Amino acid sequence: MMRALKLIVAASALVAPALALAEAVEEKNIASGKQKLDPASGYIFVQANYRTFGMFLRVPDDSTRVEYQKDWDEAFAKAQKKYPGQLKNWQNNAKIAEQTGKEQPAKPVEPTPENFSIEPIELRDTVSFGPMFIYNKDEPANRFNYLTSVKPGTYIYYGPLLMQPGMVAGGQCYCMGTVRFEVKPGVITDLGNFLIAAADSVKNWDVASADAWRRAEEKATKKGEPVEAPGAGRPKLAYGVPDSLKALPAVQAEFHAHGKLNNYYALMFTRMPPIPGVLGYRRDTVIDLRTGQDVPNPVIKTQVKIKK
Amino acid sequence: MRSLRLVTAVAVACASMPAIAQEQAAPQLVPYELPDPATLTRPKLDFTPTPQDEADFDKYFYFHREGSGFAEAYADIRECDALASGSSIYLDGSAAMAGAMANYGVLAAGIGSAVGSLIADAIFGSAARRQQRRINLRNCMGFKEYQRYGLTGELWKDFNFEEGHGRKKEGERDNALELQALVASGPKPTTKELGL
Repeated sequence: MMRALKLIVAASALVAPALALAEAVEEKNIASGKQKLDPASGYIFVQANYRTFGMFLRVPDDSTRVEYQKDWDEAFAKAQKKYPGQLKNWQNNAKIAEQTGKEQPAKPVEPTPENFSIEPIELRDTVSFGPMFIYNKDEPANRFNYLTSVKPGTYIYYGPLLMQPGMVAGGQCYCMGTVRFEVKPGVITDLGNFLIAAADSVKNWDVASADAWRRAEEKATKKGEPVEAPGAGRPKLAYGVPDSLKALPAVQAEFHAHGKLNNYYALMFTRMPPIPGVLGYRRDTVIDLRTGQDVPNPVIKTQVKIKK
Repeated sequence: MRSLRLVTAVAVACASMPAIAQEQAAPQLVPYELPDPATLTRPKLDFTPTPQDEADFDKYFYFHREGSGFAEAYADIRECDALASGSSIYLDGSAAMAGAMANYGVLAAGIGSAVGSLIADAIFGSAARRQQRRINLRNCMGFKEYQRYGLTGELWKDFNFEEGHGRKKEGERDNALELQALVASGPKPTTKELGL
């Protein structure tokens, strides 16, 4: 069991550099002075009528690139240093295999700038929120509020992913189309319930929704009840931050369409349904409805080890 | 016996281990050359479905899109394969349910629980990973407006592969993907469109 635990710890350590420095802010901590709103920090505010969660990727800026390059150089130097030892081990093992008639072990690959990599730069500043650590609950409105302090910058909504430190426990990646927004320092960027309420309700949008609709229809038919139309229970778009956050100005987030993303965590993936005036699609091409232009679609890169 | 228990413990621990970013390999676009479709042999697609075949159409299927040429179909299939390659699994229904709620708005509780059970049905391990890959391919090819058609397991195996824990060898994958593109850009099937 200890070995199993060590495996988990080792796996966590692997992704430690990708840990987000974002922090959930709670109203009770502001009141007690344990947390303070920092004008140098950015803040993402989200509300929902239930506990929710999600993940954002911060678009790497120059400072991220500099840090990344530094870490890359260090890790590459380390890998180069290790290579002669690995080669020697392989030579010994290959000799033993030859003598014992066993299968030859795979020769280690000398690290080069082309074949060496550390964790993807896109995962340097991931930010997640929920379902725990709410800012507060607005009881009369039955509303859960989430506030997260983040590095200012541009953030892409990666999807409703449940993040634990260094790991993703589940959810869906919006790998084939999503939205992005700016977060400025000293300002609360109010996303309201946009991520939940803004998108069109499209029946059979993806396999999970098609399956859900089919089951719901079967159940309703069995009971002789009418089937809800898509979007029937969807909340209205709502914004607004609690009074206790008035120390900083709040601005509504301005959402823009964003193109395809790699499936970094190898999860179920889909795409955000269309959002009038913001996000549209032509087949798998993402369209920025603010400009009417196609969003550049990057070439998808696989993170999977290729088997020769 | 002790080692068996240890293996089991590790397996259980790993099964409940959430997904971590795949960083063991350098990010790469799998390089490929566009094959000449004239060198490929179209797989057999004709069969008379039995009720059992139809029950397995969520596993054994192929894609086709009218108007897609071979090159376009091949690029589409390669892209969806890259996105769907490698897998992890939902740990339980709640994550998927909340994901679906965020995606589709708050619908009847039945819908949430249906999504939950869809995922809860999955058995952790290779089978769940294979299922996830199939669903991801259906989503991806669906967004690219390909139709889906059913096959028998036997016919399907001639030009498809499943991936659970590991990755198939590149040659085997490439051969299958090429034939899938040939079929996807070939004559329109006369069998029933399965939907997403």
